[in-house]
Amino acid sequence: MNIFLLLSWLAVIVVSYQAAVFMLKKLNLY
Amino acid sequence: MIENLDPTMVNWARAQFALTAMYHWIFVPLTLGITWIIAFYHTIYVKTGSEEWKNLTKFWMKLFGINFAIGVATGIIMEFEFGTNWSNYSWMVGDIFGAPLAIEGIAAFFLEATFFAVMFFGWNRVSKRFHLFATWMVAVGSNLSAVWILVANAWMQHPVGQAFNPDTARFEMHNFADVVFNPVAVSKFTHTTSASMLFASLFILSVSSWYLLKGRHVQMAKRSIIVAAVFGLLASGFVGFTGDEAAYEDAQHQPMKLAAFEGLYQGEKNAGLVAFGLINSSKKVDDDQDPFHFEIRLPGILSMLANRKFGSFVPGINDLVYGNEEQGIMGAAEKMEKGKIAIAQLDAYKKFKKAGDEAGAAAALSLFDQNREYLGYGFLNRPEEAVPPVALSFNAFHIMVVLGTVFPLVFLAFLYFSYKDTLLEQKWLLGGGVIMFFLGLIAHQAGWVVAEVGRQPWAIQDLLPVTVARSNLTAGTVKTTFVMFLVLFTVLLIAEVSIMLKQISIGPEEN
Repeated sequence: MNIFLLLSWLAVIVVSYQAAVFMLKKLNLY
Repeated sequence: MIENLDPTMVNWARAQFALTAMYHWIFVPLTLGITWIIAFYHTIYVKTGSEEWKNLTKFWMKLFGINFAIGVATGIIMEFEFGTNWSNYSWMVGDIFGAPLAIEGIAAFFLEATFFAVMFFGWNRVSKRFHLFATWMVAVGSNLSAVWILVANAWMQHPVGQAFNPDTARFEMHNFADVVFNPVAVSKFTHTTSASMLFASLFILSVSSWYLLKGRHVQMAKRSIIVAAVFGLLASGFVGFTGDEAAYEDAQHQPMKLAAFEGLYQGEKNAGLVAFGLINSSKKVDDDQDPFHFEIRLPGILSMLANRKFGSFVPGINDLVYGNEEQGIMGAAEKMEKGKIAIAQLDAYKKFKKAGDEAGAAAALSLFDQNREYLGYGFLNRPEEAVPPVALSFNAFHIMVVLGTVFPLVFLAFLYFSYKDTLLEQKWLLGGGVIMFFLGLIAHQAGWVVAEVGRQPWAIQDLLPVTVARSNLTAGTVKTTFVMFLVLFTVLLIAEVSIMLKQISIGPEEN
């Protein structure tokens, strides 16, 4: 569970960045 | 000796620590979360080369810098308080508790502070890539600081990897990995830092909403909102997930805390979670009053939360104080008897040792070892002292949960109207967005209350009550420093808010 929680925590940061860039490009704000 | 100390001193010492921690906890979550968002902005700047992204990054960096400085000031005072007001605690567990604090200071904070300087002053002085690396390292360093602080805090909630040395009457570390990978520490770290990501996203949402309402820096505010809302949305989902994990850990290691923040006096199978309720704050553990004026429960959810199993038994406050034979739960009353045996045998062990009676010492030590896990209960005077302030824990927990449910909806609304390109027309949402920062602050402080008030009366769970952990000082001394810190922190807060507001009012540079 410990490792799963820590990896999920990292995933939140990585996925957030990717999703934010995707959204910015979609809205022509990048 | 301990029994001759002024009992009101401990309340002033607790109030002083709460004051320092709660002021500290205004600044730290913002630092922990906003460093990631600044790293995102900075990365986009380096990738696009756009001056607008550069100005946006510099603006949020400036606000972060003001906040960081005050956070450090309050944090240092908190560490000193372990020595001034909690010297028995520091003496008894300094070997364990001091290690993560030292690592935090030497490794994580130095890492953060070093790259902090490069991040702030590196524009046009170091290469773009190294500058970006420094920004990411500030985010990594500040969150690494949180790791060690939360490892130390988690050890107090679930003291693993330690052994009591009867010769020195001190707790010593026996397994560093157990302390670091304490399941409570991992759960605390992931929950606290993701809640900080959420909080920082709310801060950016608030400031940017204000700009949009004023029609200033519109492009910059829109860009800031997209990144913050996406990050805040994902972080809030993760906060819910790790909050569930934190409640599970509480149920396993601190069942009294769980019972208190749910206002559960009588344990039951298939226990319901209070979705909404007005708790009876005059209810005492040993009276017949109803715990709630009214409540709405979600059947079976508390059992699921506590034990990952519907229909399972969740112990209530009464079960934990007076015991429940049917469920095999030992009450605080019985634990007190065992704790008093542990204290008496420790005393006997020392006397036998001094007299050179090795056989007597071995016998006393054996009896001590049989009862040592209840050591802290031996210092309690009544079993009811094992109960934390129930109404405060309940209200704090439910405020935190309700607000935690609102935030993802707010982020979704901002993303939806941004996607529809009608965000500027949603004055109601922008107005609400401005106050979101304050709601985030309330949720964060409430979370701290749940974690720290809920574990009373323990400085170290089951082993050391706060009444023993304190220093041998008079109440007047601690009261004086309490007032001094109150004035100092309030001045610092006013200074921070004034500088922040001034910088927000100036806004980012425009090309």
